[in-house]
Amino acid sequence: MRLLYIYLILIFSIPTVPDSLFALECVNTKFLFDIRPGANQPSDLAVAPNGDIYLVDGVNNRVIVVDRNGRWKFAFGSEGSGKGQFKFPLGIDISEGGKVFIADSRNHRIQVFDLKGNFLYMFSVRREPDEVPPDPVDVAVSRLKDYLYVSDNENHRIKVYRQNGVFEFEWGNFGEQYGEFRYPGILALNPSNEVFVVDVLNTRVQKFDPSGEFIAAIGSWGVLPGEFFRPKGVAIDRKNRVIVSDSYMGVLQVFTDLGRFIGVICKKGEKRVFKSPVGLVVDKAGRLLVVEMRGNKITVLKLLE
Amino acid sequence: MAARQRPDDTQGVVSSEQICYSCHDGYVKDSRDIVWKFNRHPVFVKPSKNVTVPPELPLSVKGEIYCGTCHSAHGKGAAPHGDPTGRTAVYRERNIDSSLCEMCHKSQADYKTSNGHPLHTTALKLPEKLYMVGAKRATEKNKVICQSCHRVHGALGERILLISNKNSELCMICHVDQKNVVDTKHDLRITLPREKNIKNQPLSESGPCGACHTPHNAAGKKLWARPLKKGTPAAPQLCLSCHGDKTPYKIKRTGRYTHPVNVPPLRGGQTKGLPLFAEDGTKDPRGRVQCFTCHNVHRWDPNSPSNKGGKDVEGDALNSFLRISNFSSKLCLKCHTDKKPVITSDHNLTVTAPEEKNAQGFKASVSGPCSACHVPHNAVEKHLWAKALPGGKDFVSRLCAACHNKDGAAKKKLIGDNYHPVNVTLANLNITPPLPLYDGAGNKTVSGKLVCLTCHEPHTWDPEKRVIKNYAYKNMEGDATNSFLRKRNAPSSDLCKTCHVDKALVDGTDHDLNVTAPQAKNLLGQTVKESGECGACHLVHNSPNKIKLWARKYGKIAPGEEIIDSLCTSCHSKGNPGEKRIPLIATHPDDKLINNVMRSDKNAIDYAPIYDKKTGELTHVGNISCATCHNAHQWSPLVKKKGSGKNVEGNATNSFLRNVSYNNICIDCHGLDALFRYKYFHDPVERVETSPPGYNIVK
Repeated sequence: MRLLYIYLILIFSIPTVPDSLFALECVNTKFLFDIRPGANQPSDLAVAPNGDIYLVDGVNNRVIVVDRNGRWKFAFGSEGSGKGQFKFPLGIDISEGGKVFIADSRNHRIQVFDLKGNFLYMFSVRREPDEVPPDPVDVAVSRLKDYLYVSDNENHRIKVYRQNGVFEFEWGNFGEQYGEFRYPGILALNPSNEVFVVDVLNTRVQKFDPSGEFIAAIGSWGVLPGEFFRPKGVAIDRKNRVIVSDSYMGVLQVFTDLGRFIGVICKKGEKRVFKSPVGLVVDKAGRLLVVEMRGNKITVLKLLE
Repeated sequence: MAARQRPDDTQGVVSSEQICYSCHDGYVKDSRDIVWKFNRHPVFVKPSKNVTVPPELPLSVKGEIYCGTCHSAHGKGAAPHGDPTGRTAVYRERNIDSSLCEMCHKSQADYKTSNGHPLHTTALKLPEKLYMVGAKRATEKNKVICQSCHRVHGALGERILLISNKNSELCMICHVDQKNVVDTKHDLRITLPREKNIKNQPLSESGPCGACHTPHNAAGKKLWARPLKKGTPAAPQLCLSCHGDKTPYKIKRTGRYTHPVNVPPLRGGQTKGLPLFAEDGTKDPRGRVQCFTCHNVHRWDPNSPSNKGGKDVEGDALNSFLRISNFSSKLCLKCHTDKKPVITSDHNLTVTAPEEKNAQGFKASVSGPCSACHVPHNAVEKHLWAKALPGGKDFVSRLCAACHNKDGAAKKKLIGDNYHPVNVTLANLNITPPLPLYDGAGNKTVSGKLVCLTCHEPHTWDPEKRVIKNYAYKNMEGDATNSFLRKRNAPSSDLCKTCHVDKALVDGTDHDLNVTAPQAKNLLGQTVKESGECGACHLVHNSPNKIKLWARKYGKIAPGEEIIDSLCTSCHSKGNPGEKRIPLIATHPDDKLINNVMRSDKNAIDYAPIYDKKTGELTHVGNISCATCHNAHQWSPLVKKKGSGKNVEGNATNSFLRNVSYNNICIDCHGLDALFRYKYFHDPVERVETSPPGYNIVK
């Protein structure tokens, strides 16, 4: 009982307790710049082969494109259900071939554009008889077999398509077991085309092989280092480390791809606090780009370690 | 507020907005637009003084409203997907027809007390458009609830209104008719752009509706958003707070003489569709006449909503925010139904004098029949008089003289030099007629004076045919049956007899020409049937004869005789209707002056009037004339009744004599043998006189 009491105190006091008390494990970063392109609650981003940054400004039903230095280039999309129109999209990924895949959430579909924002094609996310209308919240393109992984949030499944829209297979159900999900969110692939799925309400990231076989779970519920309260984004850096954002705690944490906690993203030994960090990406230059959903910006950091 | 907090609720962590957003950001539930993109109910602020948050709805540890004040995953109102009984969206309490809102917003819920927008009413049909912009449907069709206008999350308008209301767009979805106020003079953005309402909102914030109305905690009924003086009826203030004479606004003041408001409707409330209102301004079928009985303040032109008038456009009878066009005074006549006959009369100046202008410069053809003489506001004088008034005389006569003067529109209808007396008090004459009398200021009063309007009702040409079919719309020549008389005066002179009751006894006597000379004509060429009994001998207006307004040519009298006798001799002379009744001697010796001071009481039995020899006016010292002894209107002094209708032979007890007793004026000089002398007086054979032959003898 006494231990439980101490635990509860720790839970509800950790956001305000100095990090020094815990000898915080840090992965230090250097702040480079912010990108504030006028988005409203942006959610996810992707980097094109040329280094341009594509930001999902879902509440404004558009995708904003800035160059690698954050200078405005253009935007595309508008509200609606027609071709090239969006209804509150959330997720994005860009293939090596330069196709921009958008999880057009409330239109229950995936739309595909070229790098200039020209509409190419689209396909609806399939719905099984036992399913609610699909709620695609993220996409991830794989070099393996041209797979396109779609995170169907409300059906608690990962649905796999070819990039041309042909359905291949799916896995997952509502639940807490490995391979099950409670609201799967953002996806990321490592160079081996293994799939990392943020399992939001199970407060973990699950790692699968390309066919959906469970490999590992990263993190668990909690507010201590290495634990998650609301994991949202995941990215793989050049060292194959897994970086996970926690939108409630406002922190980014770094793990090995098998789930060992490495440290918290820090600034000179102190944790960096973000305003609802969600989508993440590590670009070819090794920069860590963090979408701060309620900060309405992208924070660009340099990973120092 | 914090004192109400229980220590085990609303911890700082879970009462933060961030905890909600961590799921509602799209990655569990997507409320990005509903809650965080658009306007929402204030959170993380302490409740305002206008709000009473009940204990069931907890505040945060800081005493602030937070998401959990209304929401709880485990509250009484929580249901995963919602249900019709108000259990939805994880509410702490059920939200049936915005009942959750009303738990805190008690003042707004008690709208009758707080002068707020009605709730839970179904009086107005709520258009589908309202629901299209986000209104929540209530449990009953058309029921107004808080969420008919407000959206707790995802509101596009300020004050969590469904949509922006800066131009009153939301108000106008339901209040479609009132939408017509936009761009009219009552759109204060045009006319008083710097004006603010009682909530200190400029027009850019309040919109056109909000300039005068506010949905909550208004100054009075009608959601009034402008100051109201307490202790005085509100309804007139709604308009007069801007248009009154004592306001700083110099906009369309109503003037000293203006149509009464806050008064009961005429004749028990027959307004033929025009609404009545209570003193507080609310509609009440048994209410009073207010400004908005005639005016629809939201629409400039009743016939054309697209006609907005404009800031500098002067209104007229067809627009001016009138409820219906006043073309042909239709609006006026809705209430003033008794005045409707004026349309088919010569007093309809739109026909008889269309170019005639009223005091406001409008031609009769534009102003309409009523406003040719009356205007509802800024009138020249009482009775809402709309024409310049000549000076002098009594007030009512001046009204008539405004047209009936030698240069006026009715210059062909003057009363001449000799006319029935006006501005006279009847009380002295012991007359109390059932006709209106007026004081000098034009007010009806039983102790007033006889004026034109006593006999005339200027709105009704024919008292018995109120509305004349096939009216020729020409200047009609009147007669005793019409001529705007209050009563017909022919073939029986009923109007005259209303006052001249004693003279009415002439009916059926020999002096009723119906009996004795039905074909005889007066100076106007009228027979007695056309003129009435009185009119056979008297002309009320334009009589060429001053004495008794005599309607016949004066009879001949000898030089030096009483002129009053010429009235009698006009008939009682050869070739005239009374030629068979000519006394051989009709005069009293003129050198014998009579004093009748003791016999000058008109109501006394011994009344013996003496007339001035030259003017015919009553006097006290003079000679005896016919009328000294004869009352031409009463056959017998003994019997106060009308005649038999037959031409009868008289005797000493009747024959229009004033007095058949011995107590007559004769005995004053002649003693008790007066009768003998009387006979002698009328008998030239018996009469011995030193007068020259022929003198005093009627040939």
